[in-house]
Amino acid sequence: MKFLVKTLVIIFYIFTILNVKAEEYSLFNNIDYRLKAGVNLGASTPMPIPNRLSNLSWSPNIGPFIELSIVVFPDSNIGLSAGTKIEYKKMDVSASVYQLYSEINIDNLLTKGYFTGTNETHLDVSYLTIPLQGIYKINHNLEFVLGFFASFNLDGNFYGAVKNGYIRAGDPTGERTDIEFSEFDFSDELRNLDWGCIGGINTYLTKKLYLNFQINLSLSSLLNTNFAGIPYKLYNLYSSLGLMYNI
Amino acid sequence: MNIFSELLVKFFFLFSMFFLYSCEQGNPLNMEADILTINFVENILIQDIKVTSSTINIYLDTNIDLSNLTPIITISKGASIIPSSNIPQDFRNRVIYKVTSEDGNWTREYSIKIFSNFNWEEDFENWTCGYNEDFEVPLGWSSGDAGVAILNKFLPNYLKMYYLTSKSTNSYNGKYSAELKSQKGIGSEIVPSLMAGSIFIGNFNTIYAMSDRLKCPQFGAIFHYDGKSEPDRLTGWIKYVPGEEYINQEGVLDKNCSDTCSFYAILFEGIEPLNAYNVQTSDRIIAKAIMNGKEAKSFYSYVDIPFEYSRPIPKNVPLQMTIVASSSKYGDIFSGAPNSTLNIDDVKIIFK
Repeated sequence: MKFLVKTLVIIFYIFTILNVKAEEYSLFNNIDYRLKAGVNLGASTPMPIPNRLSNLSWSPNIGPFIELSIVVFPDSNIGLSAGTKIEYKKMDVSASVYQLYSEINIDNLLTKGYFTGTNETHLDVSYLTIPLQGIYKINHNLEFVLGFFASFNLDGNFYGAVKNGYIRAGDPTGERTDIEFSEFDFSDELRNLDWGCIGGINTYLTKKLYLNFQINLSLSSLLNTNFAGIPYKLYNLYSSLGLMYNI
Repeated sequence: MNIFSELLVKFFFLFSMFFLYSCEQGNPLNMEADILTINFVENILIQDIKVTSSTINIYLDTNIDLSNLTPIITISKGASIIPSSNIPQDFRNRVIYKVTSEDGNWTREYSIKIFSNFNWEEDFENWTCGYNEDFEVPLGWSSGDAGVAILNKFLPNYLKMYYLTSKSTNSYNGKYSAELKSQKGIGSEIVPSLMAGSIFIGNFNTIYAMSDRLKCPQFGAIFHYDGKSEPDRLTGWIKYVPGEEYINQEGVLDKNCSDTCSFYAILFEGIEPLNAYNVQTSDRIIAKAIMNGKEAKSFYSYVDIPFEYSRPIPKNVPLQMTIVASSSKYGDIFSGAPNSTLNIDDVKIIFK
């Protein structure tokens, strides 16, 4: 909640400045307010995907978003946009895991060791996101979008299960014991701030309505950096498809 | 403006490169450094030994020359072993094998020793600590403590359990007896509410320690039948003090029950061991000698239990025998009284 309040203050601040600036300088007399809604589809994934994971099976899990942004055009082709967005990023992935260091929950106790077997992971996080973007109008039909985003974690779940496998206690030479089913929950390890870059396009459907496609790549780790339960850093990599209305 | 479009191009270039290289190439190298099975060129075993711990004790009830035996050892995929498999060794002493994983980062040492001439008599004077392990078992026997050891590896310090089998100077004869004690567990998914101390002839397979505990004990060792000396009686000296509070299968205190111990021997056919599911019920069983728990007294008393044959001993089939003792008779279903203590000494199978 602390983050939410901070964020709202920042957004308010940005909007105010943009508005004031826009009024002060005739250069910025071309102002758009854009309302955008759509869906996120993607995954939170290690990069590159380690070869100890195979048979990845990803089930589409759609996360909606809604965004309001203000765009100023200092130049007829170039615009600057700031917005605020409520979005969900969701994922369901199952993978075959081969000798991967894991911290799993057996018997409500944290167990550390090397796991081989099947891993199923579910993620759903809601973010309050502030995108800051540059817009480049190629022609009357097409805009390029490039920028950054900062996302504040409002609420999130990151949990799953390991099954049909075995774990070796401590290290790969430790005692081997079978695991039929065991759950883990790393929800508390989700970081409060996630940031990264945006690249995308807007195409005009009508004069007021655009189709937006963009890729949102996090450059910060999804989970706390000192968290050792997964030996890889996970990054949010989500594409989004939306309709945008120029108010 | 040009800079901006250049940036865009670069960005999309990087992005596509990123997707191209977003999977690590090649197969991961194996990190495991296990001995999987052992057998011998000399054909002294009835089947491969499946290895699950670093200490490998092989017991033979015949007298053979141990000084020059050639092991056939299988190891983890891609791993290497020193000394090599298929090279004769002197198994009168422990032979240490060092296995290195395929990725070269992990090594594991195994010690192998063969004990010959096991004659189905045990005075519990000789105890051994597992190689790299910290619990003791009578030489030639296995115990449920192998399961306690592996659970302890996963449990935090404040939940670690005591071992249930120990050598005790409270003996009938000689210096030591085997003391088995039942212990209360936390009664959770992997730790039962009661664990009974147990010793048996056979091996303990830790693989099932958290998934299917009753499959862990692998009862049985080779029994060479000479055609005339049939196992006739199971004897031993036993002292038993049951614990006061009986915990039933649901983990609830039951005031109407009192604990009893178990002591039995089973003769059976086949190369597969028996486990806690079928040790008294398998159709491979030829004869059983099972103590009625109520014979046990709080001072050392002699028990003499005749084998009851369900059929004659078949010829030309592999035979195995096991002796089992436990401080709680229904310890296999995790029922019994904490602190029930069984002392057992001078166990002997008497042949006709």
